[in-house]
Amino acid sequence: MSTALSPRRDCNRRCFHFLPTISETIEKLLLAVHHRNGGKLGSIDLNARLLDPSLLLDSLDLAEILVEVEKQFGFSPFEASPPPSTWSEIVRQVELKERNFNPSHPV
Amino acid sequence: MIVEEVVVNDFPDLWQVFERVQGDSVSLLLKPAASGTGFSPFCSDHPPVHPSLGFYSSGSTGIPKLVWRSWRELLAEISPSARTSRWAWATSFDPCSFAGLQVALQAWKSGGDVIGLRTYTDDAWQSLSTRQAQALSCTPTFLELLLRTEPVPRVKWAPLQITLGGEVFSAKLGALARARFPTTRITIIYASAELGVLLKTQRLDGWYEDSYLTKRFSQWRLRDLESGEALCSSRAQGELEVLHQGAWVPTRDQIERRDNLLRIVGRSDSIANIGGVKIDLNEVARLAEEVPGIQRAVAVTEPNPVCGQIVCLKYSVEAGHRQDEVSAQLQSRLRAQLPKAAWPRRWQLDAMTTLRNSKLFVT
Repeated sequence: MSTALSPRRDCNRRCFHFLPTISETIEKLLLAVHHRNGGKLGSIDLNARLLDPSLLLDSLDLAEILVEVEKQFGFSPFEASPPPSTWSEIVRQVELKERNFNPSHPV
Repeated sequence: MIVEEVVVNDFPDLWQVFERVQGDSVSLLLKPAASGTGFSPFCSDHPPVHPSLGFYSSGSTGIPKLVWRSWRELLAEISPSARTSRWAWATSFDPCSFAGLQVALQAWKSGGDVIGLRTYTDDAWQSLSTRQAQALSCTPTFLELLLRTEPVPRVKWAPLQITLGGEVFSAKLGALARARFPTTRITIIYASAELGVLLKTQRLDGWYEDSYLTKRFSQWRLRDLESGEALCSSRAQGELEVLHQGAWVPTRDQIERRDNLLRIVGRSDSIANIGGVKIDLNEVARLAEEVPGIQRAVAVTEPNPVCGQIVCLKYSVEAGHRQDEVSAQLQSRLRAQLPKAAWPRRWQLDAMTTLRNSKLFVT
């Protein structure tokens, strides 16, 4: 996974901050739980299904990651219809939500 | 039957009520906000007998429940003595609650006085030091807040008696209270508005001797909620039921028994089912409170679209500790000690406050 940070403009402060992208944030959350469960992956293919066996996640782990996504981005990806089936779909939903919330913010 | 409705603003109002009930009347206590709301004094499981007092308990469902207690029963539950004669009782309980009523009755019967404390602990310390109350009656949460917010230098006040009730008592608070009040008699009470006092002890480790329960009720038992069977083993955990007026009455509280000792684990409805595994939310909270730096913790369930429900832990950190360090320690300790289904999946710092009756309230 690339660790490069992308610039995001904070309009209120009129300056630039370097923040991780949405996909990087979600991958970081995923990796933390994966490693806690004994996994050894260094990066995660976000096209994987939510409970792909290689991720070593169960449904409670998935629930925990989505709680954290909700906490950080202010909405639950499972509220969308149909609900996401891969991690990249979750990333897309969050990006879409972020864009709708504040069109001036690059995602 | 004539029922007299009395709006009680503060403890002194109760003195007149007691005099009237003593003279064979039936009185219903109402909070100022509840007057004129059309509560029917007869919407109760047990209608009043002469003379008796009615009051609204908080109710296990959150809906206030009208409870009638006979005057004779109420008097039997207090124990005025020469030792407590003319004492000033400080209390955080509402005068219309069962606990507040008990404090008031005790003071009234022994020619004493009641000092109503507000939940704001600075004011409480000021009242206690000015009035030099001989006794304090409150919830464990109130006492904990009081101890943790004591002004420096220490207030020159130590009561002869502290009576705690209304919530589960922890050994951690017992140690804290004993350190601050080394010579005070501390009594822990487990009571319900409907059944009165069930357990009473001076132990500060969270356990009660079963002798008080056996003295008050001819029979009692622990019942397994799932199978419905009475648990006969000397080491068991189940819902406490007592034989009262010829019928088994559930307390809706989970009790652990170890030989002749009983410990209140929490409400029976605090058993959750997460992913098909039975989880005791009180146990999750108890383990959390054992982590150094954790002041209070409450475990609840919340709906979750992925797996039905998850455990959410709401907690506060003691002053003087780093919140990030304590939070990290809390998470790793609970994950090490609990089965995976019981792990909290949402962690909420500072999501607690206290109610007017000084019980812990989770936001």
